[in-house]
This record gives sequence, C-alpha cells and structure tokens, in this order.
Amino acid sequence: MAQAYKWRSEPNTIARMVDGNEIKTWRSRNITLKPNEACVFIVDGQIGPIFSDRMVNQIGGGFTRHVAQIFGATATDRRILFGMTGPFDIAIPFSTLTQKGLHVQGHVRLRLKLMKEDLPKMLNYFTNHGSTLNRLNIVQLLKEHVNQRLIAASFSNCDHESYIRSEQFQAMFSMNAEALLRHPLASVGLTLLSVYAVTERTSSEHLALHRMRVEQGTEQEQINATARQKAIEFRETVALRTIACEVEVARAKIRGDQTLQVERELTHIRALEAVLRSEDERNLRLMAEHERQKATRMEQAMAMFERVQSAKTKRQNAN
Amino acid sequence: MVLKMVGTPVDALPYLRGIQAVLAGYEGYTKGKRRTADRAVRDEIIRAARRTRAHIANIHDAAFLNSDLTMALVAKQCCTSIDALIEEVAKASSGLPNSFFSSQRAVTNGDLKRLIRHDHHAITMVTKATNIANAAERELAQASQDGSVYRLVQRCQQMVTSATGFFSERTMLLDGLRQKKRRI
Repeated sequence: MAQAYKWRSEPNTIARMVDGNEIKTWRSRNITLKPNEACVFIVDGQIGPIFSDRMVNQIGGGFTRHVAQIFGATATDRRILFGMTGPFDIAIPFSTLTQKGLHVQGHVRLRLKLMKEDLPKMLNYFTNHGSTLNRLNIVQLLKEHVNQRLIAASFSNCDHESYIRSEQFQAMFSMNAEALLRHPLASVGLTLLSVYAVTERTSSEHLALHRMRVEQGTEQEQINATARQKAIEFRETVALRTIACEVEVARAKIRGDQTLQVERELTHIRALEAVLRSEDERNLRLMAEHERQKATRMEQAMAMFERVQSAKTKRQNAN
Repeated sequence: MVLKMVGTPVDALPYLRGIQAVLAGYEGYTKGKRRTADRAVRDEIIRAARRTRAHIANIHDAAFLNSDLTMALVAKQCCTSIDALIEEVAKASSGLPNSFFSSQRAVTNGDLKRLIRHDHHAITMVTKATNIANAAERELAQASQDGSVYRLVQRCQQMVTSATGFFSERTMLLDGLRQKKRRI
C-alpha cells in the first residue's frame, strides 16, 4: 500500500528539490500532481521527463527499493524537483531618490510564472541555494538587481513628482522591467507576466495632503460659520416676526373690542330707531284713520246737504 | 456491457496527417491513448505559443531600447494575449485518468472527427501566429520602416486571440460527450 507524499506544506513555497534517496519509508510513496504542479526527476545527473496533472507512483521509499538499494540495483543519485506552475505575485521593496532629490519608497509588484517546461532551469537556483524556493527567496534573489538596474534608473529620470503617478511612467517602468528582468528570470526558469511600481506617498504629497486637509478644514469651518450665521439670522427674523404678530394680534384685539362696543351701541340705537319708527307709523295710521273718518263725515254731511237742498228745491218747485 | 470500438474516421485522416506532421505519435484519440493524445495536443499548442512569445518579447525589447514605445506597448499586449492562451490551454479540462471518456456517453465517429479537426485547426492557428511573429522579428531585423512590423505584431495578437477563443470550443465538445442522451 503506497503512501501519499506531500512536497509543499505552505503556500509560499514555489519549488523544492527533494533527494529521492532520503525518502526512507517501508511503504513506497506516490504523489498526485495537480494541474498547477510539476515535477522532474534528475537521475544520476540526467534530467528525465516532466510530469504534471497526473499521479506518479513510487517516487521513493518502499521495501522493494530498499532491497534493491542494498544490492546496488538502484540509481546512485535520485533527485526530484517539484514546482508550482501557476502565476504568483511577489513584492520587492525599494527606496530611492528622484532627479530632484525627492525621497521615494514603495515596492515593485511582479507577477511571475514558472512554466512547466522551464522547471529543469530551477536547477540553476538550487545549485547555489537551499533545497526550497519560496517567495521570500525570489525577493532576496531579485532585490538587488531590481533596485540597482530598474528602480534607480527609472526614478532618476523623474524630473517632476506628478510623473511618478502617471500612466506613462508605469508603462515605461513595465517595459523597462520586461527588458531588464527577462534574462535574469529566465536563468532560473521564471517568466515575467506583469510588473508595476507601487509608490508610497512622497513628502511633497504628504505636504500637499496636509495643505488640502487644512484648506478643507478651513472651508468646513467657514461653511459651518455661514450656516450658524444663517441660523441666527433666521431665528432673529422669526423672533421679530413673532413680536410683530403678537402686536398685530393685540391691536386687532383692541380694534375688535371697540367694534363690539360700537356694534352694541348701534344695536341699541337701531332698536330705538325701530321703536320710534313704529310709533311714527302708528301715529300716521291714526292720523290717516282720523282723516278718513273726517272725510266720511264730510261726505255724509255733503250728501245730507244735497238731499236737503234737493228736497228744498222740490218743495219750491211744488209750491 | 459491450463497448463499441471506434476507429479513426476516414474523413479525419487528412487532419490526422496534418497533426502528425508537427506532432509525431499523435494517433487521433485511439482507444487507450486518448488522454495521451489530449496532453500531446495541448503541449504542442503551448510549445508553439511559447515560441511566439519569445519572438514577440524580442520585438518588445528591441522596440523599447529604440524608444519606439508604441511598438513596445503593442508587443506587450501581444505577450499578455499569449500568456492568456498558455494559461487557458494548460488549465483546460481534459478528462478522467483511467479513460478519457469514462462515465460519459459512447463516443462516435462524429465526435472523434470533430475533435481531430479541432486539434488540427487549433495547432494550425497557433503555428500561423508563430510564423507571423517570426516574420515580424525578421522585418524588424531588416529595419523595415513601412510599419509592417507593427501590423504583423497586431496580426499575431489577433491570431492568438482567435486561437484562444477557438480552443475554448474544445471544452464544449468535451462537455457534449459528458452529457448522456436521455432515453424516453
């Protein structure tokens, strides 16, 4: 029964060289390589085929291999080189001066990739270094080259600060890095996919930021003062208006009381007027009745007179 | 259960011969070697793409050193496209370890023809991109001033982009094999 072998225990590990003869277990070891993992066998100094995306059986250990080793039937030197073939990022810190002496610091972000076919080139690294290559090792490997060849050259051409933040600077920086880093990276089997500089705030930018913050603070205070002044003016207007309204109400109330008194007097006068008018009407009616009675009596007297006269006339005519 | 043995379709033989011209050992997904054939095709595409990238990277470096930034930017974009193609091909789905089409519906001659034809076209496209990149570098070496290098690099990028899109059709073909026909 084979036992699974793990070549990578932390995500920062990019490549690792394993001595196959040091895998001493009773059970043989096999390994399942994921699509972004690759391994190559270096047996007795010869580079074998590159494996990826498959299971590799009996990479080391096992009783059979142990017996064969005792009888000298196995290879003398067996090394297995493992590598991660997916893209990965590293950040290389830098600190430099521009053309005008401005201090600039930050880091260069590199996206690298180990191609499966380039895995044997990793031997160039493991010849002079330890058996494990992680991101930090790559940073240490490239740090000096990047700082001296790339950073110093790129930032020494910056004649003004705003150029550092421009797209043109990043494009130039990227192209410069491509041209300068391709061969050093290729020598250890790495391919540069992309690169850009992440620059921290410079002293001038800090000053500009401070100035902007102070100006913004001043403007904010001014806005607050204006708002407070407007609020005071508004409250003043409201108070004045309230007083005016109260005065108007008081005046109206006084006017209303006077009107009510006058109305009461008017009502009284109108009542008197009505009484007098009714008395006048009654007197007029009485006078009219008296006149009518007087006229009736006159008519009766005239009628009696005429009858008397007619009777007198008749008597005279008869005589 | 009796599995139906599928031989290489006669119609696909010209394509098979075309692939064998650049990829010795390719037998067109014969039984037992289907996964090997798939890996061989993908490795060949990656190899051709890396050749293309090397040419374009040389053009990029030369253009940058000559302060031809427009050309360098175009070359960089082309390199990015090639990186995308390599990543697409390297991380493409292939199949299961025991059998390329295991637990899938039975593969037909039509499926094999489509796969072989697709392989041939994909390899042809990437090879064309390599040839264009090679021609561009040659034009650059001859100090051509008529803008032909610029056009060739752009043409190369277009071909690589087309190859990336075309290769993704392979996933659709394989997905079609994974879907068993529903019997009513």
